[in-house]
Amino acid sequence: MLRAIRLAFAMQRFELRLLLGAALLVAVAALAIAWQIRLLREEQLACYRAAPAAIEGSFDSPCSAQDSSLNTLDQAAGFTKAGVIGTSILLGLFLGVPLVAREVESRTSPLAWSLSRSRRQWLVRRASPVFGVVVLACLACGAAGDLLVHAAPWVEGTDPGFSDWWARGPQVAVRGVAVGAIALLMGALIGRQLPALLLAGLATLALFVAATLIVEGWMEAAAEPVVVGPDQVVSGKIYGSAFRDDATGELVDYEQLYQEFGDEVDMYGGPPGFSQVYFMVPSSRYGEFVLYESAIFGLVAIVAIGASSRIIANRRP
Amino acid sequence: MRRAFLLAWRLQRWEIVAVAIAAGALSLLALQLAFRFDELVAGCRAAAEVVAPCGGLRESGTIYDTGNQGKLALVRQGLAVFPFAAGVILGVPLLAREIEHGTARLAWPLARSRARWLALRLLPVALIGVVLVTAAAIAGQVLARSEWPVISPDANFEGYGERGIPPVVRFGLVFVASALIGGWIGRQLPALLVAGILAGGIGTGLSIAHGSWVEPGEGNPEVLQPIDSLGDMYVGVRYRLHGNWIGEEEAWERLNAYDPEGDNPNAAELPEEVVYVLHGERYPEVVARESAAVAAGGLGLSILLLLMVHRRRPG
Repeated sequence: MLRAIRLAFAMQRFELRLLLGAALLVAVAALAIAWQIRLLREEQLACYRAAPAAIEGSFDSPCSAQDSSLNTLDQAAGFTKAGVIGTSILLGLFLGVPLVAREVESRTSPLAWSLSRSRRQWLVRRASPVFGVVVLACLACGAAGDLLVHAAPWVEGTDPGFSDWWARGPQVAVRGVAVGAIALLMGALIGRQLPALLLAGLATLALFVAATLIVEGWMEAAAEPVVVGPDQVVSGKIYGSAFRDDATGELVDYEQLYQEFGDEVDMYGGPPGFSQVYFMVPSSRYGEFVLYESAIFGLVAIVAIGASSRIIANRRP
Repeated sequence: MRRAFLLAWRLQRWEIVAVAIAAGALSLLALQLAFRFDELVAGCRAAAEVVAPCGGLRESGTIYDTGNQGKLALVRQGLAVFPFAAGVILGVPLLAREIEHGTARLAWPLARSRARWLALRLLPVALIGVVLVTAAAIAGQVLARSEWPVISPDANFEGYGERGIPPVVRFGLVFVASALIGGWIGRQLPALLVAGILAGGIGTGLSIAHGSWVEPGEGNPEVLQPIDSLGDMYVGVRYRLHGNWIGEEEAWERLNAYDPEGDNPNAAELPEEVVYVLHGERYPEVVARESAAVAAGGLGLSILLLLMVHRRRPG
């Protein structure tokens, strides 16, 4: 296995160095920003506690230094989260495509394949170290992204729910592997690096759009009515709202209630005897939907790797 | 020359087809949006510009067509990124593929000179790229005219870099830079990564430099509606107190210290916020200056490319 790792590094040295450097940069940036946000948030809270009571109508903030620094850090956090998503895709694409395509394009595959016990074994030995690197780098980025999301000032130790779903957690690694598998398949199919990269990029885009639509559809179907008190903070993905007649338990929408009660109804509360209801997926189901999404990407990865193996076994070198 | 085009097509068929599909799709989507906006504007004008989306047309010079806003944003982003992506995709493999496959070892000694070989390989692909980017840039110009129907696209900074001459010149610079990186690294995928990063850097640099090509002027302080400053590009604000410029920090200290309820309201010590803009009429001047700078950069990189091909070992 050590020889396979050495070979992978020798053949993809440049891409590995650059992309692992990028992944490391994203992870370190996420950790540093999360740490700074926590420090500044503590400072900001201390400042607000010590500040005199605000003058009504004044826009002046007693803690403007901390406010603006936190805003800057929030923007940097946004870029870093985009970096987590981008790094996982780039790792998959740029490490997956050349695995077979470079060998075929440079015509080293006849020698490499004839020296191996079987083409499938060759693929396993070539691909497993690379996929191992993709998984490790994506896991590191996903974990750092998770810390960054939990450090956001508005989270404050509560559940962040479904926010920044794409930029955190172990599912980043599953997506990275799926993209890598698609790239491997395109490389094996076309046998030229650049065209394979372009097609793999297109297929990745299609996969991400399809997975988003499918998971969104499942989530919308799973949304349940949750009664919310006037000052209650809820965490989860909200798809709509209505009011519940507390006497009968019947759900009434805003328009109906407005026609009956007029200005007594506003978006934040109904008339006496009615409670606000959100149709939502509570944060507690986050893990369940992560599993569903990972299952889609995992399935695509398995199918793509299987198809690649079949193509390589039957392909002219 | 016909043989050079045939060779370019044979060697880079996939990349040319990919760029052509992207150019065609972007142009079609942009034109489709433009026709939709033209219809809306014609309807609005017939309805005396009093109902939505005509209210937007009257007040800000653009139309609020909520149904198309998402698509519009996507198409405009696509038009802005397209010249950079096309430059990288077409430019990188020019030399990198020849060096990586070892065919440069045969092709360079067979050519009358390496400069001639480079010209015959580079020019057809560059020309194809220019035609495709120009098609998308023209569609972008039509879209801008339809999206902002009360103002000429040549006096409007909205959609700068997505239409007209700038995308074509930017493509040229990124194309030459990508070919240079391809030749320098000599391997396609690593070169693609580096050229992608460089193209991102060039794009960011150009958007930062955008407001610096000409000296900005003071914006109209009497602006009541967005339409009064339509086409102008916001550059920044400066602060003035009793006719003298003061720093942003001092200005904010004074603004924060202002207490209208206090015993001694110090309104006279409040700084005046002066908005700096590039007026829409200066659009052609900005385009000319940026294009000249980018073209000069491209020319410099072309000389470097020529020197590199002359001196590089073919394998």
